[in-house]
Amino acid sequence: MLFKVALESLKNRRSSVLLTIFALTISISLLLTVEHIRQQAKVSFTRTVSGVDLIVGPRTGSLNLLLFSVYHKGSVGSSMEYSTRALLSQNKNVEWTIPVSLGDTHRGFTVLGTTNDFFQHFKYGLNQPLQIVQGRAFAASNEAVLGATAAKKLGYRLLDGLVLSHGLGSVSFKQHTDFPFKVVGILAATGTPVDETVHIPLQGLAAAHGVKNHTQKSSFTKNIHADKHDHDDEHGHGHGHGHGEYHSSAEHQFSSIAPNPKYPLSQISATEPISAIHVGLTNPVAVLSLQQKINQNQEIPLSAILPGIVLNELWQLVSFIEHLLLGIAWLIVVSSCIGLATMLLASMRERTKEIAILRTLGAAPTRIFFLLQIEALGIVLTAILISLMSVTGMLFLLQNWLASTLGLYLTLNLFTLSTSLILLGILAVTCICTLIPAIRGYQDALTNRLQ
Amino acid sequence: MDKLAAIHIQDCHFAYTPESPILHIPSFIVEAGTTVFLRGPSGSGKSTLLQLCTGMLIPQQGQISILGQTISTLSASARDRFRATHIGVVLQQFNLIDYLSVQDNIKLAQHFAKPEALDKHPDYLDELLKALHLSQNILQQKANALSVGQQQRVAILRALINRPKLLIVDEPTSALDEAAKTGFMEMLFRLQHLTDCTLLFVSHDMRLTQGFDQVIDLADINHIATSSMSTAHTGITTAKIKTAKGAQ
Repeated sequence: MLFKVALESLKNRRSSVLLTIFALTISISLLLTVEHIRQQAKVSFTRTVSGVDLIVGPRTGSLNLLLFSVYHKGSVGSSMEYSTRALLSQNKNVEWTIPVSLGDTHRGFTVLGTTNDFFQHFKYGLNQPLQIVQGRAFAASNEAVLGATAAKKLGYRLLDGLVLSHGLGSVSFKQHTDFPFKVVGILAATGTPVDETVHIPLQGLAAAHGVKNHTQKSSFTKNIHADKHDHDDEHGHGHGHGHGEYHSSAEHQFSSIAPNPKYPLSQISATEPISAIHVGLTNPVAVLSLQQKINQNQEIPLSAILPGIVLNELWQLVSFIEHLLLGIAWLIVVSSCIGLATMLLASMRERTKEIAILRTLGAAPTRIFFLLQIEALGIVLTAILISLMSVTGMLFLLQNWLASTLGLYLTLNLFTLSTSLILLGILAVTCICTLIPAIRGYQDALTNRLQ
Repeated sequence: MDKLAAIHIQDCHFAYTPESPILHIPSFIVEAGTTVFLRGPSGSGKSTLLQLCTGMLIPQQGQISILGQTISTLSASARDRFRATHIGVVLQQFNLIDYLSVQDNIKLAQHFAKPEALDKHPDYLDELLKALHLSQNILQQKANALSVGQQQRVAILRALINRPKLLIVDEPTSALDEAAKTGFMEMLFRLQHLTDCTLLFVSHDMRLTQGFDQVIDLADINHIATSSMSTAHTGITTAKIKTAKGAQ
């Protein structure tokens, strides 16, 4: 009965109640959004790299190296020679290495020069390997494997051609038009920066640069090609001219995309500049000693970082802002709860009559207290429901945009332990703020004057 | 003393603030089953007396027994429960909650009463509706959609729904026109007869005293004279002489 009275009473004060619900919905939505993005950002941040024990790069700050090599943000001023890879591989604890070279873009997407080791060893999330859903890995130096988002956004399909631009940024005036690439593979979506990346073989990257800039080195590389030629392109001949035909029926024939024998995956020059090396160890216990060894190496200035630890450091840095945002969102929620209390308090004047009637009918003052609390909780619960729906709707609409522009990969599920706690917290704040009008109602009921 | 009094007040003192006492009633008794007209202009402490009788206020001194129950010694919640179950109240105005339907207003009265005291007889509501010349479909209407006359009749119905032994009515006719007043009083007496309750009717309008067993002036039982009361008191002293009849 008390619920019915509360409901009818709220309906009776429709306009002020609706306004209050509106204000509460905005603030609760804000809080939920901040909390959700905070949680998801952390998850999406930390899932970008997994199974990599060590990242080795030219001597630089650890954050810088991580940002550059994993998130493709910022820049590493210097580069190191490809020969470092062989040096690292000599260590008995090293199981695999992935060389990574950055610096070019294709229509705004990062271009990453690497080897097939990348597809084989790189892991993300909970040790999930990369998956090529269409086509195959590199078999020639003029081939490219696209991340899921990059392929989708660029509208590329297998065997489409692409040209690199020098430098980062979507508008570049220097194009490596002389060395075009061909899409041979597309990766499954990972929810990490890999999705936004165009992967090409290091040999291809060297060639694209070499044609214009490093002619000498390029020819040098070509000489080495000559030696290896025979091994790499055994199955290349005879299919070399058939590209066009594959276009229409490509879906069925990925595995048979033929590498162009003119661009074999030759040996990579030892002096080829690379940006970083991801290292996987057979024995993870050795990671600290290896890191120390690399960092203290006198001959080659190198930095080695443990991605997990640096990720945490980075998160600590961001968490200040994160807590600040959360704090502001809470303040807004509290202020709209106070707004709710004010609305209820203002309504008390017109409700003295109602309270008098309830008292006359035998309602104890505590019932009046609870009536007001029920009304407040009803308003807030409605606002919470609307907020949950609108935030879910908003995330649904913004999901793709957030992923592509901010690299934030959000799930639509808002119900986590901490959001549940936040919702309980909001209800608690409501009860506390409503104490003011509820106690006022209680006192009115006690000193009730029948007129 | 054989029959318990519906209202029995003994040496009752009440003041909102110690400096200005409102009531001192040495003795006031309303016999069970009788109808009593209590005359009191506004400002005479009438509302305070009614709140003392319904247990919404308790006296600083003295004893108040309602239907044999000394309510001045009950706990606050027991008094509320007692009021809900045993006393029906109709006020001058503000009887119904505007935004609730007539039915919900009635249900609200039942909600606060002891569940075992509720009248389970299905015809009782119909009986009341008929006696008050109200139609069935008024139940679905919102209280604020009713005319003043209808509202007062619904208020009576609501006051009687728990079959109270005591019905307290405070200036119920002040908002009604002359014709409606007569009709209202007739209905009130008929219902008092039907439900066999004690009726305490409070008003300043001496034209309505007809039919009451007893007419009492508040000024006669209250030993504290308030200023507003003494001005209103002039000229109508003759009326109270009639009251001697029922004051055994």
